[in-house]
Amino acid sequence: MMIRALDEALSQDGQFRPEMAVIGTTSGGMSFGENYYRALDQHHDLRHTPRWIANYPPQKPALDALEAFGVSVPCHVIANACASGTNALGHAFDCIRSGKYQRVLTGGYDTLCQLVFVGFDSLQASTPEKCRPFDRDRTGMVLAEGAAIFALENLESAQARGANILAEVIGYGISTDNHHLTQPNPSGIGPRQAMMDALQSAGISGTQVDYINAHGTATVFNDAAEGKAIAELFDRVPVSSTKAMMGHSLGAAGAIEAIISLLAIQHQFLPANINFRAGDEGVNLNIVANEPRSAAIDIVLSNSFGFGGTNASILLQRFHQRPVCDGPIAA
Amino acid sequence: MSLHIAGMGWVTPLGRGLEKVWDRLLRGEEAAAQKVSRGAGEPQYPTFLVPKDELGDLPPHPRLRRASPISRFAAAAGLDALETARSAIGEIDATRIALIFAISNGGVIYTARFYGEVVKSGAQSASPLLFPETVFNASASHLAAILGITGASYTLVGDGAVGMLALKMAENLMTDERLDCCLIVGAEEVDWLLCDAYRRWRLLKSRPPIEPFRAPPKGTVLSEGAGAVVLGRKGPVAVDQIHGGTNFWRRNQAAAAIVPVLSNLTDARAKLLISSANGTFVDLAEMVAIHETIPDACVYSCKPALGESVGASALWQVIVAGQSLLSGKQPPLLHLATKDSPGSAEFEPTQSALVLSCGMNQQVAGLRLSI
Repeated sequence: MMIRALDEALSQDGQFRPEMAVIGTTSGGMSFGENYYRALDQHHDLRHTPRWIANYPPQKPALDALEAFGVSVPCHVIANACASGTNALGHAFDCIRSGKYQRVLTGGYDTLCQLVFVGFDSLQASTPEKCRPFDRDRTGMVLAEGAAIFALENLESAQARGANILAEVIGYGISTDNHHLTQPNPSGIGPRQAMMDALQSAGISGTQVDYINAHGTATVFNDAAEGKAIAELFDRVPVSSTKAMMGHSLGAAGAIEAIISLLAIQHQFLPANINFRAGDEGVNLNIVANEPRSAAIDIVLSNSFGFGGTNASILLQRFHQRPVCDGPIAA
Repeated sequence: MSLHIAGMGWVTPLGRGLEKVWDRLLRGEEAAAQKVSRGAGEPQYPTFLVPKDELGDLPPHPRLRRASPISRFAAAAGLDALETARSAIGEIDATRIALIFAISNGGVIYTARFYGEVVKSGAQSASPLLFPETVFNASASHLAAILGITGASYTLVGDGAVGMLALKMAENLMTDERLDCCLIVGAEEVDWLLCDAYRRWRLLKSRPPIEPFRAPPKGTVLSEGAGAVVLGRKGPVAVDQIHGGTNFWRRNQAAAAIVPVLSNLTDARAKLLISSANGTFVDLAEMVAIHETIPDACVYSCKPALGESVGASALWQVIVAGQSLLSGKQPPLLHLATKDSPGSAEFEPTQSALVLSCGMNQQVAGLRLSI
């Protein structure tokens, strides 16, 4: 999946020469570790174990994908649970904005495996029913897998070489909520701080955001905390969680949803939050219920939150051709 | 922007405490190997484990009640590093610290327990208490909660070079003026499963000692613990340069990956190299690169004494380099196999040191410190 995603990203810009890669994941090569453990436990054929073990480290898929394209650059693999993809994109943005880097490959990946599937089920966080983000009768997430890659570049550099600029990253926020290892503080303080930091980082106010691609896992606790924070910070900005359509791909989710946000900007539409019937009592959210809508979209906020209390928010903006000033990063 | 090491802390198989472990290294001591096994009649593997009584004074924080050893090691090293940093940078505001956690194998003990129950008894036996501890950033989350860190917290995963990559990430984060410092923690725990995996990977030695720079390499001994460094804008040891790292795809390409890292970092003052030699193919790759780039350097590896702690190892190396610069002393390199290997040069007090970290799964990075 990483190789396919990287291929698609690089094939859109053959001149893109990254200086670094920042990639997010949650479980990396866990399925290889499972093969090894089961073979060991059940005294099966152990001939393949060296290969399984070598592929188990979480950074391996990222390094393999870089190797496949002959890209030998420093590779930072962030494992901040389900916020990893957005954290990777955000850190890549910070690195370029600091002026230390011009071009960074970034994104996220995750594959389904038994340990993760059973683990979320043990927490009663996954549902056997439809995934209904922000619905009052939501019963949990549907797990998924995938990979998404961005070629991120300093705007001046991208413009100078005539790159096809798809959108700009304009802000990033990260926060840590110490309430509990797996449950957000019900006050929504963690998501709220991440979103506020992203707005501050971009130098914009909440009224300038046209659409929020929410983390929206459809778990009782996440959607309550995130919904509260969004309702407090934004005045009826359209919100949807695309996890209802694509599932929750963990470390890849933030990167995949950043691409959905970018497509929303490109095609001027609000992605739907399907399977929605009615929201929580007393939470004032403008959910893009069940059908996509056309809309004028300039700026999108994308959220990702994870176990360990990690919260990440990123702001994308429609690219307007203009003389370069400090700040924005082209994607 | 100049960056400095403001504080250091480590939990190792030779104990805990900056000076205590350093003194034992200077005396040429090495950790005593203990065997771990899945059970009676199963293969036994030598390991270097942290003495059980070293963590008795950890704060009674609720997050540590059920946490696995890796989280407890990290908490101890992190708290010790912040304590030593206070003398350099004063009181530390938790809202102005970023936490960067370096990890390789993660919480293997709880992961093996969790998955073992699933394999043995089916999905219905999966423990909702254990599962969250299997997630790579669980230890970072516990440490952030203990310290009250509410801002940036990143967990980086990688091989033995991941600690160095975490320092590079900290350098990048420190361009943000809202941060006073970064706490970088590398940690690892060991169990039979990890040892079995490394043995099947043909990297583990059946018994100690670790013999650095031996040809052909005989393998390493895994160890556990944590290393922590506080990176700030002032402190007794300057971080002159951190190489961003590079990758190699095959073991026989490791030397070619190390050469540019060392060439980039070395300067006329750097007479000391803290190597990551651990008794595996890494040693021979480093030996080739050292001969090519800094043949006269005094080379030291702490791994024969402390073991290969993977996620923690690069932080341990940085602490060794810092202590060498500050004390003007260098521990003896244990179990050196041949007289003409890189570790045979005489140590002379120096004001600049290199740290090289070549992992066993494709990553290389390094840095240069000075006083």
